[in-house]
Formats: sequence, structure tokens, C-alpha cells
Amino acid sequence: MELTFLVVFLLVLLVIGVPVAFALGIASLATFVILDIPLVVAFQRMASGMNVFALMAIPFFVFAGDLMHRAGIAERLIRVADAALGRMRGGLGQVDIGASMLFGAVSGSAVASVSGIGSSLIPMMREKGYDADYAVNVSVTSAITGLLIPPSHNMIIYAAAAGVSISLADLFLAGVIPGILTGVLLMVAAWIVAVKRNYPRGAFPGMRAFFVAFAAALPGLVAALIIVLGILSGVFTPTESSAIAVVYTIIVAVLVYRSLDWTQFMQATTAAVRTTAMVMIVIGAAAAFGWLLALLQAPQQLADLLKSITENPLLLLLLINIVLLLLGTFMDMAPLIIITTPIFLPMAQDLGMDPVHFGIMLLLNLGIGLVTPPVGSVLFVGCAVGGVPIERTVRTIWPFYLAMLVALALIIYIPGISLWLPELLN
Amino acid sequence: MNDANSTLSARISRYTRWFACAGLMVMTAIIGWQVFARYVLNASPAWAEQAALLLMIWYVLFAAAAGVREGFHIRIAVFENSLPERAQKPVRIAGHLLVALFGLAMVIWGTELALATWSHDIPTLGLPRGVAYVPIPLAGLLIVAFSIEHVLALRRGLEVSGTWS
Repeated sequence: MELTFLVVFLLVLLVIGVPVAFALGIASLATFVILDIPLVVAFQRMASGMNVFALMAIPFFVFAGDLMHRAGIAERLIRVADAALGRMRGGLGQVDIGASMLFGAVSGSAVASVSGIGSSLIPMMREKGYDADYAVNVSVTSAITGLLIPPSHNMIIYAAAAGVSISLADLFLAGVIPGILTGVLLMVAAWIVAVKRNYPRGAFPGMRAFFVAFAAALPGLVAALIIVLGILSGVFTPTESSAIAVVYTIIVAVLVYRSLDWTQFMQATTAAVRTTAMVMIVIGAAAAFGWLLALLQAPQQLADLLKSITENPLLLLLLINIVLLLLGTFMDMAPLIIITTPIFLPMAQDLGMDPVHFGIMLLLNLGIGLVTPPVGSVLFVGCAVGGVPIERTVRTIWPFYLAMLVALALIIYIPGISLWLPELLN
Repeated sequence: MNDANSTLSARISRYTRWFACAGLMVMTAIIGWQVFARYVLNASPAWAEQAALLLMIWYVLFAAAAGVREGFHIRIAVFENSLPERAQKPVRIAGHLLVALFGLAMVIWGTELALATWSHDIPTLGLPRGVAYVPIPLAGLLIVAFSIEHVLALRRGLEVSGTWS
């Protein structure tokens, strides 16, 4: 009864446009009142949800990514991808995907990726005779690979939501192959569409040009290496490595690239503060909401419901993924990670799934939600950058959805794709 | 677009931005110092991580309050936008009033939380634990004010314009 109230009230608040964090908070407070639990407990849950050391890496990741974007690292990564992939049929589409994967390794935010890579490549593609819908389709879907390729601040959110038992190093390693797999499948989809539409190919500039481009992008890529190697080796905590990445990026942008002035620096700082505030306030509110879900035994009830449909573990996993995909179409990633992890992770573990494997599946699944209407922040940004209405984009996006769904299915049913690398290095 | 900027609220929002940006920079410096101290000076400062976390809670809550004014919080606008023009305004006002109510709850029970934990100390910092909760009522106060500003502006057919970008 109270559970129904909590969920229905939340949905009503979301539909009338109350910001997600406040909708979670208000629905929770109302339910606390009904259950006759002191409201001070609700605020204590919210505060302790934010009062977590591991979450400090989020502002640093976002800050470093935004600084790199403004320092012009995106253009340099595009040049690397262009030298390597530009000669293929529809080469710029391949370049877009390659550059997004590299950028994902640098920043780990899908929105930053589509605004960084897409804002350069979409106009470039239109100039060369590519259709605008294709340019946007490629840019938005390839940005999702950045969620899986480490570092990724959404992995930190997942690790925090799942409890202390998951090592961030394992998650980072587990994301590498799934991220590359998703990128490669998107490249196949982009290539098939490009052949059908007879898009032009670029010229191969030669190995020399490739190495020159690579060398120019190297200082940016080193920042990603600092974060990943720092965490994997245990020399730095995730928080420390991401803070070092910020300091390093500032030094590279100011001294090496000489491309960051005070105004841009303040813009990057503001953008990082804004994203952090958005994410953290959702994390806080979702902590109270999640506490209520657990109190009202939502995970068990949902598990019973799903098990009444099927007992087959493979079909159950499929059902979980369908529910997540549906939720993802109209809600943003961070709140969904925090709300759905405590609900579905125990079920998945019951089915014998490793929490690291579940996390990778969750990130890709919810990532697909970022490029699907009615609500998809990455799709929105891509359409705005490309100047294409959302309706026109989604009419031709299905080959790319298909590629991502194939990647998701492979990742769900072949645990080795995620778990082989962390097991190898442990 | 019409401008309903009350100069005071615009100024508060701008100060909040500077405070939050300074918070992020100092936080970076603290963690950077922690690494430097551990590997170069061979002395890990025990206070650093706790201080950085406390700072983050403070600036995040203030920035989130400013986000109510600037309208940058994640929300689902598609359903609201598909409503007929006439129905949009009351729905929007209702949304802002609900957020104001939540802000009020932050003021009341955030204060209670801060007072109840004032006699405990945060380990390694020697500050009362309540210090971590003080920004809840303060940010709540700002949220109430900013939401009401939106309501008043909407009633006059105006919009609050942002100061953050």
C-alpha cells in the first residue's frame, strides 16, 4: 500500500515536471509521514547518502573532462581517428565513433562526448555530403561507449549504490572490452548505412601523419592513463587519481596546448560544479527513497512478481533488462543507477551473476536510455548540435539501436566479455 | 524573454556560483596536497580527506539551491510541454510550490539534525558533526526563496533569467 503510494506519487511528480531530485525527496517525505517515521530520519539518510568518500571522485572526473574539452583535446582526438579510419567508406562516421571511444577514455561522460566530438564532426560531415540524421545518429550512439571505457564517473555511482564490496579497479577493467565491442558493432552499423547511402571516403594521410596526430593528442590521453593506472596499481585512491588528473589537465592545457584562458577555466569550473550538484542532490534524495524501498520490501516484491512470470534465469535476466530499458527511456542515468541497483542487483546475484558483470550490463542498458526518446539527454544534445529535429533523427537510428542491443545481449549472456580482463589481471 | 530578475536574488545566485567554484578548486588543492604530502613529505595529513568531503557537501548543497533558481536540475519536461498553453502555467506553479515545500522541510528538519549532532565530533577534524548538516537548512532557505521567485514571476507572465552561464 505505502509502496504503491510512494511509486505513484513519484511518477505524478515526474510527469508534472518536478526536478527528479525533488520528486524523489518529496515522494519520500510524504511516505515517511504516512509511515509515521520522524522526518529527521529522511534528512539523515539523504545526508549520509552524500557523505561518502568515494563520491568525491565525481566532481574531479567531471572537472577534468570538461577542462580537456575546452582545452581542445576533442579536435586532437578527431585527428588521430581521422588518420586511422578516415579512408573507409563513410570514413567520417568511423572517425566519429573512434574519436568518441578515445574521448570516452579521457572524460567518461556521454554528454561531454557528444558535445565535444559531435560539435566538430557533425558540421564536418554535413559539409562533405553526409545526411544530418546520419551524423547525429553516429555521434549520439557512439558517445555511449564512453560510459563503459574507463574512467567513467557513472561506475563510481554504481559502486557506491552497490555497497562496499565492489572494487572500482575491477569495474574499470571490466568496462574495457564491452566498450570496445559496442564501438566496433556501431562501426559495422555505420559502415553498412554508409555503403547503402554511398557516402564518400577520405584519403589515408600516411603513417607519418598518424603519428604526428597521435603525438599531439598524447598529453590528453596521458590524463586518462594517470587515472586508470593510478587506480589499478593502488598507488592512488580513485579520488586522488582523479584530483591529480585535474591538476595535470590544467598544466597541460595552460603550458603545453596553451589553449585555456581564465574565462574558459571558470566556465569549466562552473560546468563541473553544476553537474556535480545535479548528480549529488539526486544521490542524496535517492538514498532516502532507496531506504524506503528496502523498508517496504520492494526488491522482494518485484522479484516475486518477475519470478511468477518465469523461473528461467536467462528469461529473468531478459525481463530485468527490458524493465531497465523502459525505465531508461524516460529517466536519466544517475538516478536510475541509484534506485535500480539495490532492487535488481540482489536478484541478479541470486541468478549467479557477478556484481561487476551486472554493473557493466546496467551501464550499457541505461546508456541506451540516454539516446532514446522521450527523454534522452545525449540524444537531445546531439540533435541540438546537428540542428535536426528529434523525430527525424530517430526515424533512421534503428541500425544503431540494433548494434547496441546486440552488444547488450552479448554482454548479458557472455560474462567473460566483462570478467575476463579483471580476472586476468588479478 | 521578459526579465523578472530581482537584483538581490540574482546577486545571491552569482555569489553562490563563486562560492561553489572556489569550493571545487580548494577541494582539488586539498586532495592534491594529500598526495604530495604522502609521497614527498612522507606524512599523510589525516584531516585532508574529511575536510574535502565536508567542503563538497557544503558547496554541492548551495549549488543545488542555486540550481533551483537557474533551472538546471534534471527534470522531465516532455509531458508538461505537451499540455495546452493554458494548463502549463498552473502545473508549473504547482511544481515550484512543491519544491518550496521541500525547501521548508530542509530548513526545519535540517536544523533539528544539525542541533542533534552538534555535541558529537567529526573524527580527525575536531569539528562538531552538525557542521556537515548546517548547509541543509541554509540551502533549504535559498530553495524556498528561489521557488517563490519563480512562482511570482510566472504569475506576472515573466521568467527568471539565469546568471550562471
